[in-house]
Amino acid sequence: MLASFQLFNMVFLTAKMFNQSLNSWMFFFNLMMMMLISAIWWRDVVREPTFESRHTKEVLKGLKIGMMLFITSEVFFFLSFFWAFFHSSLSPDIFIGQKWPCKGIKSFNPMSIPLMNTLILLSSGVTLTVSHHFMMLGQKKKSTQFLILTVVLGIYFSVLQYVEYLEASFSIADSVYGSCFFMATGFHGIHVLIGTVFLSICLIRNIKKHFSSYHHFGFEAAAWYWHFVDVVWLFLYICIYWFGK
Amino acid sequence: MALQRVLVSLARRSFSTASTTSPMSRLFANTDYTPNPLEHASGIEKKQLIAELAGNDDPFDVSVVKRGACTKDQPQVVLSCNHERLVGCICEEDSESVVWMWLRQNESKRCACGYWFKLQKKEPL
Repeated sequence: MLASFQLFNMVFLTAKMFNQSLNSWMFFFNLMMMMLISAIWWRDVVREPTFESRHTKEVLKGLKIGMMLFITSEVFFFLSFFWAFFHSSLSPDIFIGQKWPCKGIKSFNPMSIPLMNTLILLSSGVTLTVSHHFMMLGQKKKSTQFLILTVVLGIYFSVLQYVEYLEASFSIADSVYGSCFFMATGFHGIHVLIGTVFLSICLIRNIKKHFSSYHHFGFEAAAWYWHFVDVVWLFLYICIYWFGK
Repeated sequence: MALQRVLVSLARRSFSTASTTSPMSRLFANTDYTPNPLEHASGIEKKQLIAELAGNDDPFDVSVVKRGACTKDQPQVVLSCNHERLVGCICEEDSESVVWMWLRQNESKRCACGYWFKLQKKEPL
């Protein structure tokens, strides 16, 4: 209940921020409350299987379906940004100069940082899979090492993306190109950050021996999420960075 | 130097676990020993695994049961560890809907299609 109140407040304050001015104290308070509620909720989610052994096969089945549905909803979330991008780019309007990128926009070189980011994310997918296989083999130490590598690659991606944003010659307010670009890559960036946190929690749980070689759904869910973020990046790279340059 | 020692000590403390020889403490000890799934599980999760090893694939009695005679004298026995249970009857082989009803302890119940059901108390897993 508190979470839903908090989420409503967040939406309300964000809309207010767009239209009037940002009440930073209220926004910060709401953000902190939401993070606190999330942390307490997810603490319980960790406690349920680890210390209360609630994860029978029936419960696991529900969790798996829940995660699949969540990722499906995320697919459609990103689909809307791609739709906006293709709508504007495939037949550019006269108001944006009948060209794509829009008149006056200097887009990024896809062979520079974006290509590096593609390699980083693909590599992190590989290290994550290796970590999972070691976990299934019961080799916790190696599994932990590869999971650390995955988290580091995730952080490296975020840092490079931050650097790229700093170097950008256009902003989210610069034509429909800027809006599509920052909306899509920005939300992807947030998903990478969330995925990195998700994997870090799995890393701590792996060190604390919460996972067995057979029962480690928290890790699997994090891996699914990470691979999803990885695939979204591939589409972003091909469509927005390469095709849309 | 003092600060460094404190930081090192704090970092160690958060990862150290007591090492005795009991199975539970060995499970959480900081070695590369990984328990097998059965060893790692506890509580109801473990009971389910043990039941499956013993050949019982449905320890919580949640799967669909093919009905028997279902007459008044020989009602279909439905197991439950509570005093009542929601039961669904697929009246005809090609029924498109399930008829749901509450079965209560010590009373047989007849579905509208004529099949009889009876609740039988069982101990929880």
